[in-house]
Amino acid sequence: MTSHFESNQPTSARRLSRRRWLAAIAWMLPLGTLQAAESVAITGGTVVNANGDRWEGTTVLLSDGVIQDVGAEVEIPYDATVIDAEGKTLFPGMVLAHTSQGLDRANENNSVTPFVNVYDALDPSSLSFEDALRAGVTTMHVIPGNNCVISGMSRIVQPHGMTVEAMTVRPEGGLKISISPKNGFNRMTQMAELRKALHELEQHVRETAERLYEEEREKQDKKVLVPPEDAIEKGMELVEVNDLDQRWQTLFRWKNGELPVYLHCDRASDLLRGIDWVKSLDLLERTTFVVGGETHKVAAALKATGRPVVLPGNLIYRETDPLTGEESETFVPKVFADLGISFALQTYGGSMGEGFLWYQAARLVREGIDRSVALQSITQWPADTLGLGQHLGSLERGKDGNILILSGDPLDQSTVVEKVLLGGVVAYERENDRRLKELLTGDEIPDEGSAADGEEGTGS
Amino acid sequence: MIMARSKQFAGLAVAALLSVTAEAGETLALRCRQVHDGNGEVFEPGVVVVEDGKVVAVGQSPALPSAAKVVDCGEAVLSPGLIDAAWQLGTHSDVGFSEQSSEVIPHLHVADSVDLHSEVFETLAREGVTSVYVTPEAASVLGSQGALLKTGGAGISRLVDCPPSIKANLGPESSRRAGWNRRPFSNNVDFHVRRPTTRMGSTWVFRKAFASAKEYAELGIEAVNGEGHTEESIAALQEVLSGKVGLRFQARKAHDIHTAQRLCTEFGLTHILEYAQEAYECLELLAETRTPVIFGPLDAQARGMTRNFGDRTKPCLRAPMLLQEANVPFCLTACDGLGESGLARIAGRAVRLGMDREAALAAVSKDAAAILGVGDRLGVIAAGNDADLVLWNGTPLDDTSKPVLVLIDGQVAHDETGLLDDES
Repeated sequence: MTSHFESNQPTSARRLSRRRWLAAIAWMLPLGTLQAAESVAITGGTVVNANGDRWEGTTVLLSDGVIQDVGAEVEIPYDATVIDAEGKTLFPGMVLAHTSQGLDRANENNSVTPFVNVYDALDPSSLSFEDALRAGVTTMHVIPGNNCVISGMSRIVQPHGMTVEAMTVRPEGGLKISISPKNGFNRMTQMAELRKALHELEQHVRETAERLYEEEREKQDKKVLVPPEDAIEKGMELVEVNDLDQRWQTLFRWKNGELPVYLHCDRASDLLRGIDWVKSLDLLERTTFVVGGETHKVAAALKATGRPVVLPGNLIYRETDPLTGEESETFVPKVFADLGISFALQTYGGSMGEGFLWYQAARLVREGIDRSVALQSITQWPADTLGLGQHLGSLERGKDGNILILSGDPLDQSTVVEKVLLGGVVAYERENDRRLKELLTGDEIPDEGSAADGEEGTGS
Repeated sequence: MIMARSKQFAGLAVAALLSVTAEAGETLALRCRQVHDGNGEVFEPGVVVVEDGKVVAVGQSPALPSAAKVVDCGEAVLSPGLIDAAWQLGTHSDVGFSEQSSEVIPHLHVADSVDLHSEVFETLAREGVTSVYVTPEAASVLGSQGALLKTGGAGISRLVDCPPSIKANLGPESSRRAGWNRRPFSNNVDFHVRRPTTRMGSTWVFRKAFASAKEYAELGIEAVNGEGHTEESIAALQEVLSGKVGLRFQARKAHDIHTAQRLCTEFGLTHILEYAQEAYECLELLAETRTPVIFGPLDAQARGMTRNFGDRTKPCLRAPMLLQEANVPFCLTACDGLGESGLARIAGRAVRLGMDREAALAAVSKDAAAILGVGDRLGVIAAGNDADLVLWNGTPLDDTSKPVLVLIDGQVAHDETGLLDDES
């Protein structure tokens, strides 16, 4: 992966205000929200890393929620909490780069809603978070659905915590925009809506610029003697995001290159149009493509952009020949993998099978794709996609302690998630998973106190 | 009815002749990393010898006939073709069908409406399912007779002779679908509509039909068309009463399972349960009566009508293991699931949830064949059985493997390997 995936810095060279500095500092704060133990050592396990590397008898040492060392001969501090993982497999926590899980509805009815924020709809008590943790997902990018023109701000969370704040990994993931028509729109109206929104934004910014310039002149007790066009031009430098109507703030920030966008392009033609469109706005470098199955036909064009891509949850693209009625099937990741494109997988409906990231990855191996590609597409690559590749996605020094302790190989059929560590703290233990027991047995299991409802313990 | 059946058998005989001539003289020995025979045995390495559409030998190194052409399948693994004992599609392009003329139609045959050219069967073959029992849709209280057929092969020869059975349903499909059977220009279901609208209504229809059939038989007189039944349907029910034709109940919920048992006790019948999502609630009853259960799909959510009509079953993901532990004869079905909800994946889920791999494989091959009454011919790779074989690019049922070569009666139904290209 190239380094720009990691970059969270705006491309524009605008002067950073004090507020932005604060935001930047907040951005760099440690991710962990759970109370991390001083040192944790997971000993004796087999590490299967994101790229498929396999090291037996390996110890992972964590301190303050961050991985300090991974290796066979790691010195364990005397006060470290030791988790025995003899016979178990350690795997990086999986990253789901695009999901609407945890939202009551994926999309707002209105088509242009850059002002909405996933924050307001996230329900920490949603069972889908519990399910995600049970399935080994430690980071989720919760983003509005694709049925929109411009939808709102997403959020990167971990599926654990009593409040949205406690769950938050990054408060701002990015903005969702769709090139493909939302329900009831055709492609022309979709693009017209997009242009109209940008035009309205520009109008608003110009009006604000003029107003600010006039106010500035008034403060200096000077009369505004320039024509409006000049006032707007001079006022532009004064415009800060908070001077704008809240309705336009998110879109303004994206337009200035300060926010990533997740651009939904369902069909091949949408992807080509989408690439052109963000290029014309000089925003390609802030774009992640959320594509549909048909885009495999223009995967080369996507590769040329070098931008991250989230593949559709439905990994098979079916097409019917209009003349013969013949159906053809394409296994979408195969096309991308053959071109050497890195991609993030997502889940697809259902409470079984495709609803699990590991299952999606296993299907890649089934279709002859390299195992390391399959494993990276649910760990390192989605982390890169989110710009968190330096913190998440693999087991190596300096990365966050989001670690799965599995009963066996991550793609093996009979493997189960036994423990999940979030930031070095045990957030899930299968043996205390009351709801899983109910699901497995059909019986209602009585609540046996705090350990049973997934309260954090140190797992010693 | 007798006419229709004899025609069916005639078709089978002709087809059997055809298939023999088409394959005569060819002997194939498939050598693989492993052979899972479906009966709990794993040969490593394994060889299966196929001749004239039948398996003639299986083992680590069985004696090969001199004419045998040895095909080295490398790392691939062989399993028996999978069997779905309660499949719902393939009768009307790609959706189910429902006969609306009456709720007592045991004299009708699904075989008459199976579309052998439906793409569903090609898909099934590609996914390793080589035989399906097409079960009637559940819109009638006493439905028609299902049909067992291969998913590949030539024409009518795909129909496999198996002990006949009719399908009964007490769940919401037969009663709630009353709403679909309105009179013209009427939005409401009223007393002019023949359908029962509750489980008590369905049970009454069942009881009345069988009581009439029993009464006619006891009196020794020919049945006449009467309310809710015809002479043909009564004759078919009498075959059920005499044990010549079996009975299947679609009973997802536990109380339907109990009702089925009650009705069968009342009329001295034995039965098979289809879907039986809540069978885990009645393990003792099922073990005691040795009632076979065709369980499926294995899902954390209820599907189909059940879901839409507020008749939710409570899912239990360990249900297959519980049935196994309780010694209830059972097999797994995908109902109408294809692809990632297909039969191989359902069995794979069972493995993931803790079932032994060979037991899961048997639950979609040997055990299904046994419940269908064709265990002497299908479901296990053994000398004398049909050569319905699936070659996987890894361990069978694993999420990371898929069928790459499928043989049905020794003929290629799907091939991604090119191993047998010379033959075709």
